Amino acid sequence: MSPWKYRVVNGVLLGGAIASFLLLISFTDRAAQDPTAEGDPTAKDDAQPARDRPAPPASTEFTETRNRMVTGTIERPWDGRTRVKDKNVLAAVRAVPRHAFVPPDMRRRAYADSPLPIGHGQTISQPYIVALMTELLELTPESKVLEIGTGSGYQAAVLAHLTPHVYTIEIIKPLAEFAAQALGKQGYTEVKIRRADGYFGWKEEAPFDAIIVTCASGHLPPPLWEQLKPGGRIVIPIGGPHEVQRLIVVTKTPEGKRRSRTVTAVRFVPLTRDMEGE
Amino acid sequence: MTTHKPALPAGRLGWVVFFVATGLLGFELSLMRVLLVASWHHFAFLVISIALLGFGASGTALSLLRTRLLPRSEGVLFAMVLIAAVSMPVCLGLAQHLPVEARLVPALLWRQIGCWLVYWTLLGIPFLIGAGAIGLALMIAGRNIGRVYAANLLGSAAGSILATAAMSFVPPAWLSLLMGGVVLAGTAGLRAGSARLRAGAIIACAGLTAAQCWIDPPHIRLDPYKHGAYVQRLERQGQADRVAAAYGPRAVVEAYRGESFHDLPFLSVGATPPSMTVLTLDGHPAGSVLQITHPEDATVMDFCLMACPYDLAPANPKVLLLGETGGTNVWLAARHHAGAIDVVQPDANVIALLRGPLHDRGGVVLDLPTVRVITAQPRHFVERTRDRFDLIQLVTLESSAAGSGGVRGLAEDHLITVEGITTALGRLTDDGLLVATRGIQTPPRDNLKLMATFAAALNRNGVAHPERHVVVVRDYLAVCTMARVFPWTPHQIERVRRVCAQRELTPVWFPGILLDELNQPDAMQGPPGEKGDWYYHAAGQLFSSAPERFIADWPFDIRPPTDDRPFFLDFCKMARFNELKRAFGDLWLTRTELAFLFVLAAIVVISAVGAVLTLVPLLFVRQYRHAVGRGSIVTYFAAIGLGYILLEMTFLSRLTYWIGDPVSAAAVTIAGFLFSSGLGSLSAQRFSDESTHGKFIRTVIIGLILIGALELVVVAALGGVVGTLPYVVRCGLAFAAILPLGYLMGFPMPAALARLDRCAPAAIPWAWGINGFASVIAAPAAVAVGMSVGYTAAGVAALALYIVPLLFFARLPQAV
Repeated sequence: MSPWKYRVVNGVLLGGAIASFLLLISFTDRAAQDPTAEGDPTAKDDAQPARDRPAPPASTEFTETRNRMVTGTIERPWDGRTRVKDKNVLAAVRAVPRHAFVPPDMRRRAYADSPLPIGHGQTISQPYIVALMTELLELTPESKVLEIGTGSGYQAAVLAHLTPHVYTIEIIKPLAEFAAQALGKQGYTEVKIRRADGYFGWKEEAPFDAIIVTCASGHLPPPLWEQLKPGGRIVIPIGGPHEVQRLIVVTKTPEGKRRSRTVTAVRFVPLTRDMEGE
Repeated sequence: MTTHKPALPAGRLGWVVFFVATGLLGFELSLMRVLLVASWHHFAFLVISIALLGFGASGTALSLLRTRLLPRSEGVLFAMVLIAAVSMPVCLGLAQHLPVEARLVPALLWRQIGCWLVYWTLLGIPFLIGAGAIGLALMIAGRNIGRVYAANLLGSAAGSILATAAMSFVPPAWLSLLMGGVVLAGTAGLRAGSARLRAGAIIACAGLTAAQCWIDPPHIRLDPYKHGAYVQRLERQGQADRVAAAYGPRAVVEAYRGESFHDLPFLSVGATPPSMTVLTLDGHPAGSVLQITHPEDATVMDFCLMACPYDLAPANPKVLLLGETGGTNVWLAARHHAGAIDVVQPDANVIALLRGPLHDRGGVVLDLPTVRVITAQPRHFVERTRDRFDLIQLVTLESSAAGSGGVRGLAEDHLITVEGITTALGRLTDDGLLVATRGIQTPPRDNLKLMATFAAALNRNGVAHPERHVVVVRDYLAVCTMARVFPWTPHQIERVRRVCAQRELTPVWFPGILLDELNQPDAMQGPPGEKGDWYYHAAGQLFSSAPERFIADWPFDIRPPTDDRPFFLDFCKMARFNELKRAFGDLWLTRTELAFLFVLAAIVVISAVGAVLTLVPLLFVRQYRHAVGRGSIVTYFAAIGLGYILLEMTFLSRLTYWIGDPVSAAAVTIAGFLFSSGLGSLSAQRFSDESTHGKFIRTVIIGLILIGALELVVVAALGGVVGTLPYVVRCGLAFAAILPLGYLMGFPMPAALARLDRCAPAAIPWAWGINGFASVIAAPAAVAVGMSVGYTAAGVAALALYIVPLLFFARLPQAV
């Protein structure tokens, strides 16, 4: 083989390899609905929460994209997921600008049906999981809710559309600052944020009607149990928001006893053949 | 094989090759250590593949560039050694800046995969260049090739010893720098150019490396979702302090204190844990050291699910804690007035930390008068002890399970196998309990596999009705499975009922359980229309006389693991993959078990890359394209390439059980096979006349197959015995066990190459390339076979592959 052919062959192989790597790094197969392809970003958002009290401002940006996200993946999911039915919750998720609660380099994917990294080993939950957990809290406008693990602030923003009494704690300093900034910028001024160890709850504001623990926990923190009102409920995603395996709803009976039930994000019946014979 | 005059004296060339080989193998093992810290597994099969790919690709490149390299061989060799030395810390350092994560996000999937590919490419560069240096040295060795080859062997053996020893003293992030320095020493044997030029080049490269280390000190980027990364974050913001650390081949052990740590698995509401120091092993949570000094201060342990068995065990039990790390279960046992507490911990560094820097922070727990600490692999301990225990706790299982998308599925555990559980059951007193507490997963998998394993072990012990020997209870976080040697009596069952009521536990299974008792107070999903949860339903099937159908139907792999297939955390069932993907939609990445998929993906990618780098270039060379007897050559060399690595990986798994930790086992296995095969290759050269005769090679291969079969059986059988011996003795025996087989495995390749050298030299690059390609894909393939059907199958397949050279040696090109 002549020298120039060597060079051509080697060059083609090398160039192809480099190009392939670059393409793999930049290409995403889960192309989010690109917010920049939005139709009319100034269109009025008419999905207001149906209640009499003042509500946080509903974002008017990317409303169509958000509506599609809610309809397609939460309200009427196409796969085997448990449907979220609470209209107030659906309206809240429609109102919150998720793209404002993710890092700038993730904004293109903000409305993808996927958890997204927000740095510091944390993720913002899949919108569907956020909606499902919110529904499980069964909030009313008078409910006092505590969130452990503010993360980006997105969940707190959703909660703020259902009750003005939202308290949220984050232990990671940069995340707490990011969330405070994002919530403030979007007008969620009623949300109270504290940077602290959420394990110990928020004693000064206890008791709470509902508590949501969004960070991975090996057990239900006893201080949170103490700060829960009788009749209240705690929602814990086991496995962490990035890999939610199941949601546990723990309720406190009037006698102070614990009752729990497991809610799975997907209705999946493991066996088929075996059960046909029963 | 070659008779041309050597370009360099044997001594100098041998010096170069020795240090390059030492550094390369040391780097290979260092990578496994680094990966264990950075990620979720040591990925030995991938590291081995990447190293072999380097050898294969460099061999192809050398073949193609031979005529251009030979005239300036010493200068090129010098440059390659220098670049190889520098590339080790530099490439590893660059790789730390890639955002690789084991947890895949749907929206970022392709980006993450791309990052992984770049990551492994960077890690492969030192192997490519270093192997190229060795290959070039062999090419120019002339009649000294035997001695140079021997230097390669000795260097490989030295590298494994050096790396393993260094792991106890050098932080993992700095090991690559050490190995680069070792390789750099090889340049002392070269005289290319002037001494000033050489010195200048070395100083420049060393300076650049030092500058890089100063700007970006060697560090390991932990997967951001690992617990260790979270702990480091707290440390950075002043909420935690690292109080102690220890390094070793087994793990990097670190201890952190801080008021933000509350790690106590399966704690029910009722008590808040005291201050604690948390331990991590390679960034994974390993246990908590409660900062208390007396069992009376450990009331919090009464509210953990692990306390339940103490209500059912005999009074003042003799307790065995297998894999206890932080001492919390010791406090629990002490609170229940255990008469004796045996703590088995395989990592001596953990014990040293507890007795040293952490002694006054709760490590005093090991000083309790009833406590005896044994440094041993849990499985080895239960094999050798003749004591009987009232309560044996499988502490290694006490976590929230494999909710990480299954990435831990590649880990081997020889305690949680049918054989291991059978042995543990044999160490119980008549009223004793074997206990496993593990987090709940949905759909259930871990605890089902545990139940299946317990049932299989009871069957092995001659129990016809395992359902009468097992009690399973749970709360909303975890399941506690308790097995007895004798059936539970009605009186004991009433105690179970009382304990469940007192502790607000949900009964899952016990003999005589009533439907009304099921699924409360913590309700979970079960079969439609049934009151019980899936755990109850599964227990009824798994404890029956025919659990196979249920196991086959369940969407996850819950087959009881065995010593031959010791992958407790692997739940992947490829046959149900599409169904799971359809059911879970975009959640499938975290619901299906990715470990096996990862191995399959590795096979595909490695095959593609290997083909491109080792085989494709040869297609463009006319003289190689038209080489005589390509079919036989391809078949022969592919078979021995596949067979060699399949056997090596099989022994790696077997010897992991012998030695107790995978990195040490990898060191011994790789060095042992390289060393002994090298000796075999040298012998093949000495008998070069005979070795070109088919009869001699056939005899060798038949011997190889027979000895291989014998060793597969013997090594598996002796695991329990060897495991009881000291660490150095275990390593030595493992090395010795490999020698006979490895020696014979060194014959087929050089014998065939010698024939090709005489009769069809143009085909040698083909042979080398095919062999390299086959070796590269064999490593992940061995793991895939091991995870699917067991390593015995992989070993048998390897021996069967050696029948091919038996048949095809005679068909290789022959002199007319």
